[in-house]
Amino acid sequence: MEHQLTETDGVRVLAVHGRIDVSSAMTLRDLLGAQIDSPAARVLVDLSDVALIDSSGIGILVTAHRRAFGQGANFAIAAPAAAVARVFAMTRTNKLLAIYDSVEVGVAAMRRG
Amino acid sequence: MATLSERPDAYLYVAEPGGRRLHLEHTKARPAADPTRMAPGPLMQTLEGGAEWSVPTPPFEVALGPADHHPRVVTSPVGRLYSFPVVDAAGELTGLVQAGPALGDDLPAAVARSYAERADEISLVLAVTRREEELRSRLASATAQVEAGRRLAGSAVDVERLVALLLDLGLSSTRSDAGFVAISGEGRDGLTVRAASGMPDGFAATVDLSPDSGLFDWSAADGGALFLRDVEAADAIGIRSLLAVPLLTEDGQPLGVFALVNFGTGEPLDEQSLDLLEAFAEQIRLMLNNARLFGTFADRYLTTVEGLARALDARRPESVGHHDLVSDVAAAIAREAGLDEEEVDAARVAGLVHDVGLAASSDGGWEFDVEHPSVGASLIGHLPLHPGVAGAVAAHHEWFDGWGFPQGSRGEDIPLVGRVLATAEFLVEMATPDAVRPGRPAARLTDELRQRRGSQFDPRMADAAVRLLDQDALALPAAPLTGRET
Repeated sequence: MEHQLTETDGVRVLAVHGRIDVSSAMTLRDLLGAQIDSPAARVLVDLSDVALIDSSGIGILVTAHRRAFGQGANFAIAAPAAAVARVFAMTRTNKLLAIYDSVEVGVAAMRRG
Repeated sequence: MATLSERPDAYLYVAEPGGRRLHLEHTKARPAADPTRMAPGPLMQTLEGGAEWSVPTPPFEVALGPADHHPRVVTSPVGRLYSFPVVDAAGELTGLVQAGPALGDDLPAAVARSYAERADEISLVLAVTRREEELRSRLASATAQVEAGRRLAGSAVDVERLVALLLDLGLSSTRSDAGFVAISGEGRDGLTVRAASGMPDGFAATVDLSPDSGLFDWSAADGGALFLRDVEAADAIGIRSLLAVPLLTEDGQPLGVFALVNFGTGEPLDEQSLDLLEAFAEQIRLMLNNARLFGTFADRYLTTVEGLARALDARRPESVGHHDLVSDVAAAIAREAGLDEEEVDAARVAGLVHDVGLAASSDGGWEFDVEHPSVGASLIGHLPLHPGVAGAVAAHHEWFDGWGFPQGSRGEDIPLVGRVLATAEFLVEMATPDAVRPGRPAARLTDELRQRRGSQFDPRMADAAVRLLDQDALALPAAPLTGRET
């Protein structure tokens, strides 16, 4: 799993590339843990280049979401590919996460929030 | 030898186990039109309308008497016959050969010699016949057990097997290394692995699937959302990827989890794999849902049947609590006789409903009464219960020697739990006082059991019941130590 971190309008955008599974989940957890560091943090994960995610990757995202919510921070996901969006639906985690269709929509929403 | 073999009619009777009666096994007789047959008597002509007359038939069953142990001349519906005992190597009478017609009231020495020369051969043939009969009986019993197993397989066992099959198909079609299906308990206290393939040894027994701290985070409060909580635990057993989907009822209640696992040698999941995963998950979900619905239905139905049985008991003051008593006593006898716990429970359940077939009797008449075991068994035969339950209800009036009803089954042809139930109901009936007689005391019950041991009751069950009575370990109605008995 590769990644890039950028910041747009105060929103930290973490673009992830490749697959998110057990072998990469702990790396993702460390990355997100470092970014959700204050109540002011706004973190958006760009999944547009993620081919597939498994239950461990979803677990990291849900945990990050809960951690951000607990701190008063803002956390969301953007642009999941069809297969990834389908996994969210199959595991019913799509209701737990804030998911935007694109990075631009996500950044705009988080900037306002 | 020629003297006996020249007899044109011959009948072979085989003794039943216990040796009190003999059944006609084989007949060699002249045809009806044979001119050497005796002419019909006037009574026979009248009965047959005078136009034709039938070939007289020998009795299909005869009682064994002391005289049968010796060669003699007997009178039968087919005329006078020479009768010879067939004795096995142990000296036990195993059958009778009757041949005729006899020429007079006495057994000629030549005929007796002729039979004696063939006695060993006949005894051997009869032994083979009996062995074949025993094998047929065992085969029938085994077939019945297989059928009962199939019935049972309609419930829990079958679900487990089919879930395992669907899991294997799911793994091979998605080219995954491994997978498992975990099923939630009724009380939603966590998940239990019910089928696993390719997972490490001991995985099913050791994996923590508790809702609060286990491998998965899965909460109905979150709409049934499911994800991996313990990444380290998955990593520790070498899992590279794991995709688990929740299995829910139509109204969102948790049924279980279906998980595909890769350790690095299988194909990574792709979008096509998701199609397959979804399809297999739906099949497993439907199966678990149906099994749960049927299980709930069966529980409620059985409760209704038990209630019906108790309502029958309440029709007469002396029978109040009868089914509960029989249930307790049957379970105690089953356990004392060494039956396994599933059979003990089958005896308990059978006791609770054994006479429910009487509910179908509007007038309590004898004609229907004798069928009440079959009717009762038919009321519960379709339920996913231990097969011993319906079998016991059907057989609780059978006698070990074959003189019971409705089938007249005997010995080990009677289902094991049925033999328990027959003994238990007898004890409860005897110990319960009614309008015309007091309940029998324990000593009298013990005497009755000993007298009927091997005839009415399986000796194993009778002995177990006697031991329990000796220990005062049966919850029978309180009976006076002395009192009027009828």
